Amino acid sequence: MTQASFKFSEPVSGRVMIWLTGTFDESDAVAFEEAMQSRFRERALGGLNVLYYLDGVEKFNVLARAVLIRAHRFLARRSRRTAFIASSAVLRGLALFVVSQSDDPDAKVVANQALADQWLASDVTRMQDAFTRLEASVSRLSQHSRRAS
Amino acid sequence: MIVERRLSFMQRLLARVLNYLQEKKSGYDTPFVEEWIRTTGTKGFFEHAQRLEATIIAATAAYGATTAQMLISLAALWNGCWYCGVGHMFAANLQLFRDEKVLGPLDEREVPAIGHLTDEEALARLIEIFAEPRFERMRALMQRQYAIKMGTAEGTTPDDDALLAILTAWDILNEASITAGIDLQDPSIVPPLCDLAKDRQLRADYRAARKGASGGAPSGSSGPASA
Repeated sequence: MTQASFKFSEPVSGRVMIWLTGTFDESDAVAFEEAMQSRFRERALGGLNVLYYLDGVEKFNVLARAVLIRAHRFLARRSRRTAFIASSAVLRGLALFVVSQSDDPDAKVVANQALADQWLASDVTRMQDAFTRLEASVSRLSQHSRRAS
Repeated sequence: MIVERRLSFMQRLLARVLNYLQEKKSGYDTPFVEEWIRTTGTKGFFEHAQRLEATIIAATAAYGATTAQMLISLAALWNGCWYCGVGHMFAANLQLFRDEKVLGPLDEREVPAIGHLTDEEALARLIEIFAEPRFERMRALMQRQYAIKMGTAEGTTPDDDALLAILTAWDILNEASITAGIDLQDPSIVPPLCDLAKDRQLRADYRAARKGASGGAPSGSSGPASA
Protein backbone atom coordinates (compact mmCIF):
# COMPACT_ATOMS: atom_id res chain seq x y z
CA MET A 1 0.00 0.00 0.00
CA THR A 2 1.46 3.33 -1.07
CA GLN A 3 0.81 6.47 0.94
CA ALA A 4 -1.50 8.97 -0.73
CA SER A 5 0.17 11.87 -2.50
CA PHE A 6 -0.77 14.52 -5.02
CA LYS A 7 0.95 17.06 -7.20
CA PHE A 8 -0.28 20.12 -9.12
CA SER A 9 1.38 21.70 -12.11
CA GLU A 10 1.54 25.40 -12.78
CA PRO A 11 -0.72 26.39 -15.68
CA VAL A 12 1.11 25.33 -18.87
CA SER A 13 -0.32 25.73 -22.39
CA GLY A 14 -3.74 26.48 -20.98
CA ARG A 15 -3.73 23.45 -18.71
CA VAL A 16 -3.42 22.59 -15.07
CA MET A 17 -2.34 19.01 -14.42
CA ILE A 18 -3.02 17.03 -11.26
CA TRP A 19 -1.41 13.71 -10.38
CA LEU A 20 -2.92 11.49 -7.69
CA THR A 21 -1.10 8.44 -6.37
CA GLY A 22 -1.47 5.87 -3.61
CA THR A 23 -4.28 4.90 -1.27
CA PHE A 24 -6.65 7.66 -0.23
CA ASP A 25 -8.77 7.63 2.88
CA GLU A 26 -10.95 10.56 3.89
CA SER A 27 -8.17 12.53 5.60
CA ASP A 28 -5.89 12.16 2.57
CA ALA A 29 -8.68 13.36 0.30
CA VAL A 30 -9.37 16.33 2.58
CA ALA A 31 -5.65 17.21 2.49
CA PHE A 32 -5.85 17.16 -1.31
CA GLU A 33 -9.01 19.28 -1.30
CA GLU A 34 -7.48 21.87 1.05
CA ALA A 35 -4.28 22.07 -0.98
CA MET A 36 -6.27 22.51 -4.16
CA GLN A 37 -8.45 25.20 -2.64
CA SER A 38 -5.56 27.19 -1.25
CA ARG A 39 -3.77 26.96 -4.59
CA PHE A 40 -6.67 27.87 -6.84
CA ARG A 41 -9.09 29.90 -4.68
CA GLU A 42 -7.65 33.25 -5.70
CA ARG A 43 -6.86 32.31 -9.28
CA ALA A 44 -9.03 32.86 -12.30
CA LEU A 45 -8.85 29.59 -14.22
CA GLY A 46 -11.66 30.54 -16.59
CA GLY A 47 -9.91 29.58 -19.79
CA LEU A 48 -7.90 26.72 -18.38
CA ASN A 49 -8.45 23.00 -18.78
CA VAL A 50 -7.79 20.50 -16.02
CA LEU A 51 -6.20 17.10 -16.45
CA TYR A 52 -6.24 14.50 -13.68
CA TYR A 53 -3.75 11.64 -14.02
CA LEU A 54 -5.02 8.69 -12.00
CA ASP A 55 -2.73 5.81 -12.95
CA GLY A 56 -0.88 5.88 -9.64
CA VAL A 57 -4.05 5.56 -7.57
CA GLU A 58 -4.42 2.32 -5.64
CA LYS A 59 -7.60 2.91 -3.72
CA PHE A 60 -10.16 5.61 -2.90
CA ASN A 61 -12.52 4.56 -0.14
CA VAL A 62 -16.17 5.67 -0.08
CA LEU A 63 -15.57 8.70 2.15
CA ALA A 64 -12.55 9.79 0.12
CA ARG A 65 -14.64 9.62 -3.04
CA ALA A 66 -17.18 12.02 -1.55
CA VAL A 67 -14.41 14.51 -0.85
CA LEU A 68 -12.98 14.08 -4.35
CA ILE A 69 -16.41 14.90 -5.81
CA ARG A 70 -16.52 18.09 -3.71
CA ALA A 71 -12.96 19.01 -4.70
CA HIS A 72 -13.70 18.44 -8.36
CA ARG A 73 -16.79 20.65 -8.16
CA PHE A 74 -14.67 23.43 -6.68
CA LEU A 75 -12.21 23.27 -9.55
CA ALA A 76 -14.85 22.73 -12.26
CA ARG A 77 -16.52 26.00 -11.26
CA ARG A 78 -13.21 27.79 -11.94
CA SER A 79 -12.07 26.11 -15.13
CA ARG A 80 -13.21 25.34 -18.68
CA ARG A 81 -13.10 21.57 -19.14
CA THR A 82 -11.70 18.51 -17.40
CA ALA A 83 -10.33 15.15 -18.50
CA PHE A 84 -9.62 12.26 -16.13
CA ILE A 85 -7.02 9.92 -17.61
CA ALA A 86 -6.68 6.33 -16.43
CA SER A 87 -5.36 3.27 -18.21
CA SER A 88 -7.29 0.70 -16.22
CA ALA A 89 -11.03 0.12 -16.04
CA VAL A 90 -11.18 0.18 -12.25
CA LEU A 91 -9.77 3.71 -12.14
CA ARG A 92 -12.02 4.87 -14.98
CA GLY A 93 -14.95 3.55 -12.91
CA LEU A 94 -13.81 5.65 -9.98
CA ALA A 95 -13.48 8.72 -12.21
CA LEU A 96 -16.83 8.06 -13.88
CA PHE A 97 -18.44 8.02 -10.45
CA VAL A 98 -16.82 11.36 -9.59
CA VAL A 99 -17.79 12.91 -12.93
CA SER A 100 -21.40 11.75 -12.78
CA GLN A 101 -21.93 12.64 -9.11
CA SER A 102 -20.31 16.07 -9.42
CA ASP A 103 -22.85 17.03 -12.13
CA ASP A 104 -20.10 18.44 -14.32
CA PRO A 105 -21.18 18.16 -17.98
CA ASP A 106 -17.78 19.34 -19.21
CA ALA A 107 -15.71 16.56 -17.63
CA LYS A 108 -14.95 13.23 -19.25
CA VAL A 109 -13.11 10.04 -18.35
CA VAL A 110 -10.70 8.77 -20.99
CA ALA A 111 -8.11 6.05 -21.38
CA ASN A 112 -5.20 8.01 -22.79
CA GLN A 113 -3.65 11.38 -23.48
CA ALA A 114 -4.76 11.54 -27.13
CA LEU A 115 -8.41 11.12 -26.16
CA ALA A 116 -7.96 13.71 -23.41
CA ASP A 117 -6.50 16.23 -25.88
CA GLN A 118 -9.40 15.58 -28.24
CA TRP A 119 -11.91 16.13 -25.44
CA LEU A 120 -10.28 19.32 -24.17
CA ALA A 121 -10.21 20.77 -27.69
CA SER A 122 -13.96 20.28 -28.19
CA ASP A 123 -16.81 22.31 -26.76
CA VAL A 124 -19.86 20.05 -26.54
CA THR A 125 -21.00 18.56 -23.27
CA ARG A 126 -20.28 14.92 -22.50
CA MET A 127 -23.93 13.92 -22.91
CA GLN A 128 -24.37 15.87 -26.16
CA ASP A 129 -21.26 14.19 -27.51
CA ALA A 130 -22.39 10.69 -26.52
CA PHE A 131 -25.96 11.17 -27.79
CA THR A 132 -24.72 12.54 -31.12
CA ARG A 133 -22.40 9.58 -31.64
CA LEU A 134 -25.05 7.09 -30.53
CA GLU A 135 -27.67 8.63 -32.81
CA ALA A 136 -25.30 8.54 -35.79
CA SER A 137 -24.22 4.93 -35.27
CA VAL A 138 -27.77 3.66 -34.66
CA SER A 139 -28.95 5.50 -37.76
CA ARG A 140 -26.18 3.94 -39.89
CA LEU A 141 -26.99 0.52 -38.42
CA SER A 142 -30.62 0.92 -39.47
CA GLN A 143 -29.51 1.82 -42.99
CA HIS A 144 -27.31 -1.30 -43.16
CA SER A 145 -30.24 -3.45 -41.96
CA ARG A 146 -32.60 -1.96 -44.56
CA ARG A 147 -30.05 -2.57 -47.33
CA ALA A 148 -29.47 -6.13 -46.13
CA SER A 149 -33.19 -6.91 -46.17
CA MET B 1 -20.52 24.69 -15.60
CA ILE B 2 -21.86 22.58 -12.73
CA VAL B 3 -25.62 22.07 -13.01
CA GLU B 4 -27.03 20.19 -10.03
CA ARG B 5 -29.61 17.64 -11.10
CA ARG B 6 -32.30 16.47 -8.71
CA LEU B 7 -35.19 14.13 -9.34
CA SER B 8 -38.72 15.51 -9.21
CA PHE B 9 -41.58 13.60 -7.57
CA MET B 10 -42.86 12.60 -11.02
CA GLN B 11 -39.44 11.28 -12.03
CA ARG B 12 -39.25 9.18 -8.86
CA LEU B 13 -42.70 7.83 -9.58
CA LEU B 14 -41.69 7.05 -13.17
CA ALA B 15 -38.64 5.16 -11.88
CA ARG B 16 -40.84 3.03 -9.61
CA VAL B 17 -43.28 2.22 -12.40
CA LEU B 18 -40.46 1.34 -14.79
CA ASN B 19 -38.83 -0.93 -12.26
CA TYR B 20 -42.14 -2.67 -11.57
CA LEU B 21 -42.64 -3.28 -15.30
CA GLN B 22 -39.04 -4.41 -15.74
CA GLU B 23 -39.40 -6.91 -12.91
CA LYS B 24 -42.61 -8.27 -14.45
CA LYS B 25 -41.14 -8.52 -17.96
CA SER B 26 -37.60 -9.71 -17.29
CA GLY B 27 -37.47 -11.00 -13.74
CA TYR B 28 -35.09 -8.40 -12.32
CA ASP B 29 -35.22 -4.73 -11.47
CA THR B 30 -32.70 -2.02 -12.29
CA PRO B 31 -31.14 -0.64 -9.10
CA PHE B 32 -29.96 2.52 -10.82
CA VAL B 33 -33.07 3.57 -12.77
CA GLU B 34 -33.51 6.75 -10.68
CA GLU B 35 -29.89 7.64 -11.33
CA TRP B 36 -30.43 6.89 -15.03
CA ILE B 37 -33.30 9.39 -15.21
CA ARG B 38 -31.26 11.90 -13.18
CA THR B 39 -28.36 11.50 -15.61
CA THR B 40 -30.27 11.90 -18.87
CA GLY B 41 -33.42 13.78 -17.86
CA THR B 42 -36.84 12.28 -18.62
CA LYS B 43 -36.84 12.98 -22.37
CA GLY B 44 -33.24 11.85 -22.69
CA PHE B 45 -34.06 8.70 -20.73
CA PHE B 46 -36.70 7.63 -23.25
CA GLU B 47 -34.49 8.54 -26.21
CA HIS B 48 -31.61 6.61 -24.72
CA ALA B 49 -33.74 3.58 -23.80
CA GLN B 50 -35.06 3.46 -27.36
CA ARG B 51 -31.58 3.56 -28.89
CA LEU B 52 -30.29 1.06 -26.33
CA GLU B 53 -32.96 -1.38 -27.45
CA ALA B 54 -32.24 -0.68 -31.13
CA THR B 55 -28.57 -1.36 -30.43
CA ILE B 56 -29.25 -4.68 -28.69
CA ILE B 57 -31.58 -5.76 -31.53
CA ALA B 58 -29.06 -4.81 -34.23
CA ALA B 59 -26.12 -6.42 -32.42
CA THR B 60 -28.14 -9.59 -31.76
CA ALA B 61 -29.16 -9.75 -35.43
CA ALA B 62 -25.56 -9.29 -36.54
CA TYR B 63 -23.71 -11.53 -34.08
CA GLY B 64 -26.28 -13.62 -32.23
CA ALA B 65 -27.47 -13.07 -28.67
CA THR B 66 -24.46 -14.60 -26.94
CA THR B 67 -21.80 -12.57 -28.73
CA ALA B 68 -23.91 -9.40 -28.54
CA GLN B 69 -24.22 -9.79 -24.75
CA MET B 70 -20.49 -10.48 -24.44
CA LEU B 71 -19.67 -7.29 -26.36
CA ILE B 72 -22.05 -5.31 -24.15
CA SER B 73 -20.37 -6.77 -21.08
CA LEU B 74 -16.95 -5.71 -22.35
CA ALA B 75 -18.18 -2.19 -23.19
CA ALA B 76 -19.25 -1.86 -19.55
CA LEU B 77 -16.04 -3.49 -18.33
CA TRP B 78 -13.94 -0.83 -20.10
CA ASN B 79 -15.95 1.81 -18.22
CA GLY B 80 -15.31 0.14 -14.89
CA CYS B 81 -18.97 -0.78 -14.33
CA TRP B 82 -18.96 -4.20 -12.71
CA TYR B 83 -22.74 -4.38 -12.45
CA CYS B 84 -23.30 -4.27 -16.22
CA GLY B 85 -20.05 -6.09 -16.99
CA VAL B 86 -21.02 -9.03 -14.78
CA GLY B 87 -24.75 -8.98 -15.65
CA HIS B 88 -24.30 -9.02 -19.42
CA MET B 89 -21.58 -11.68 -19.33
CA PHE B 90 -23.93 -13.72 -17.11
CA ALA B 91 -26.65 -13.22 -19.77
CA ALA B 92 -24.27 -14.40 -22.50
CA ASN B 93 -23.19 -17.42 -20.48
CA LEU B 94 -26.77 -18.36 -19.67
CA GLN B 95 -27.77 -18.18 -23.33
CA LEU B 96 -24.82 -20.34 -24.32
CA PHE B 97 -25.62 -22.82 -21.57
CA ARG B 98 -29.30 -23.01 -22.55
CA ASP B 99 -28.58 -23.46 -26.26
CA GLU B 100 -25.52 -25.70 -26.18
CA LYS B 101 -25.12 -26.89 -22.60
CA VAL B 102 -21.67 -25.33 -22.66
CA LEU B 103 -20.06 -23.01 -20.09
CA GLY B 104 -18.77 -19.72 -21.53
CA PRO B 105 -15.00 -19.27 -21.22
CA LEU B 106 -15.30 -16.17 -19.03
CA ASP B 107 -17.05 -16.78 -15.73
CA GLU B 108 -19.01 -13.56 -15.20
CA ARG B 109 -17.70 -13.33 -11.64
CA GLU B 110 -14.20 -12.81 -13.06
CA VAL B 111 -15.12 -9.64 -14.92
CA PRO B 112 -14.17 -7.23 -12.08
CA ALA B 113 -10.78 -8.89 -11.63
CA ILE B 114 -10.01 -8.29 -15.32
CA GLY B 115 -11.00 -4.65 -14.87
CA HIS B 116 -8.28 -4.28 -12.24
CA LEU B 117 -5.58 -5.01 -14.84
CA THR B 118 -4.14 -2.31 -17.08
CA ASP B 119 -5.99 -2.01 -20.39
CA GLU B 120 -3.30 -3.82 -22.35
CA GLU B 121 -3.09 -6.61 -19.79
CA ALA B 122 -6.88 -6.90 -19.71
CA LEU B 123 -7.14 -7.22 -23.49
CA ALA B 124 -4.37 -9.83 -23.53
CA ARG B 125 -6.16 -11.77 -20.77
CA LEU B 126 -9.45 -11.64 -22.70
CA ILE B 127 -7.78 -12.89 -25.88
CA GLU B 128 -6.34 -15.74 -23.86
CA ILE B 129 -9.72 -16.56 -22.29
CA PHE B 130 -11.49 -16.55 -25.67
CA ALA B 131 -8.71 -18.54 -27.37
CA GLU B 132 -10.88 -21.41 -28.61
CA PRO B 133 -11.35 -21.45 -32.40
CA ARG B 134 -15.13 -21.10 -32.02
CA PHE B 135 -14.57 -17.62 -30.54
CA GLU B 136 -12.43 -16.38 -33.43
CA ARG B 137 -15.11 -13.88 -34.50
CA MET B 138 -15.62 -12.75 -30.91
CA ARG B 139 -11.88 -12.18 -30.52
CA ALA B 140 -11.77 -10.04 -33.67
CA LEU B 141 -14.80 -8.05 -32.57
CA MET B 142 -13.51 -7.44 -29.07
CA GLN B 143 -10.14 -6.28 -30.38
CA ARG B 144 -11.87 -3.90 -32.77
CA GLN B 145 -14.15 -2.69 -29.97
CA TYR B 146 -11.09 -2.06 -27.80
CA ALA B 147 -9.37 -0.11 -30.60
CA ILE B 148 -12.45 2.10 -31.05
CA LYS B 149 -12.71 2.64 -27.30
CA MET B 150 -9.04 3.62 -27.10
CA GLY B 151 -9.39 5.98 -30.06
CA THR B 152 -6.95 4.09 -32.25
CA ALA B 153 -9.61 3.09 -34.83
CA GLU B 154 -12.34 5.13 -36.47
CA GLY B 155 -15.68 3.49 -37.14
CA THR B 156 -15.99 2.85 -40.88
CA THR B 157 -17.67 -0.54 -41.37
CA PRO B 158 -21.08 -2.00 -40.39
CA ASP B 159 -19.28 -3.89 -37.61
CA ASP B 160 -17.81 -0.63 -36.38
CA ASP B 161 -21.25 0.98 -36.31
CA ALA B 162 -22.57 -1.83 -34.12
CA LEU B 163 -19.51 -1.69 -31.87
CA LEU B 164 -19.68 2.10 -31.65
CA ALA B 165 -23.39 1.98 -30.86
CA ILE B 166 -22.74 -0.50 -28.04
CA LEU B 167 -19.86 1.57 -26.68
CA THR B 168 -21.71 4.89 -26.72
CA ALA B 169 -25.02 3.45 -25.48
CA TRP B 170 -23.19 1.97 -22.48
CA ASP B 171 -21.04 5.08 -22.00
CA ILE B 172 -24.29 6.88 -21.25
CA LEU B 173 -25.83 4.08 -19.20
CA ASN B 174 -22.71 3.46 -17.13
CA GLU B 175 -22.77 7.02 -15.82
CA ALA B 176 -25.83 5.89 -13.90
CA SER B 177 -25.04 2.21 -13.37
CA ILE B 178 -21.63 3.01 -11.90
CA THR B 179 -23.48 3.99 -8.72
CA ALA B 180 -24.60 0.34 -8.43
CA GLY B 181 -21.37 -1.12 -9.77
CA ILE B 182 -18.55 0.72 -8.07
CA ASP B 183 -18.85 -0.94 -4.66
CA LEU B 184 -19.98 -4.34 -5.86
CA GLN B 185 -18.31 -6.80 -3.50
CA ASP B 186 -20.06 -9.97 -4.55
CA PRO B 187 -20.58 -10.41 -8.32
CA SER B 188 -22.87 -13.38 -7.60
CA ILE B 189 -25.69 -11.02 -6.60
CA VAL B 190 -25.94 -9.49 -10.10
CA PRO B 191 -28.76 -11.04 -12.17
CA PRO B 192 -28.31 -12.03 -15.80
CA LEU B 193 -29.33 -8.85 -17.62
CA CYS B 194 -31.70 -10.44 -20.12
CA ASP B 195 -35.13 -12.06 -20.12
CA LEU B 196 -33.63 -15.43 -19.14
CA ALA B 197 -33.36 -14.04 -15.60
CA LYS B 198 -36.87 -15.37 -15.02
CA ASP B 199 -35.82 -18.94 -15.71
CA ARG B 200 -34.87 -20.02 -12.18
CA GLN B 201 -34.26 -23.64 -13.16
CA LEU B 202 -31.84 -22.66 -15.93
CA ARG B 203 -29.98 -20.38 -13.54
CA ALA B 204 -29.75 -23.12 -10.92
CA ASP B 205 -28.50 -25.64 -13.48
CA TYR B 206 -25.94 -23.14 -14.77
CA ARG B 207 -24.67 -22.37 -11.25
CA ALA B 208 -24.39 -26.09 -10.51
CA ALA B 209 -22.43 -26.62 -13.72
CA ARG B 210 -20.07 -23.72 -12.90
CA LYS B 211 -19.57 -25.07 -9.42
CA GLY B 212 -18.81 -28.49 -10.81
CA ALA B 213 -16.33 -27.03 -13.29
CA SER B 214 -14.40 -24.76 -10.91
CA GLY B 215 -15.01 -26.10 -7.44
CA GLY B 216 -17.25 -23.09 -6.68
CA ALA B 217 -14.91 -20.15 -7.06
CA PRO B 218 -14.27 -18.25 -10.27
CA SER B 219 -10.95 -19.41 -11.67
CA GLY B 220 -7.96 -17.09 -11.58
CA SER B 221 -9.83 -14.37 -9.68
CA SER B 222 -8.74 -12.79 -6.47
CA GLY B 223 -12.12 -11.08 -6.08
CA PRO B 224 -13.09 -7.49 -6.79
CA ALA B 225 -12.26 -4.46 -4.75
CA SER B 226 -13.33 -0.94 -5.37
CA ALA B 227 -10.67 1.55 -6.39
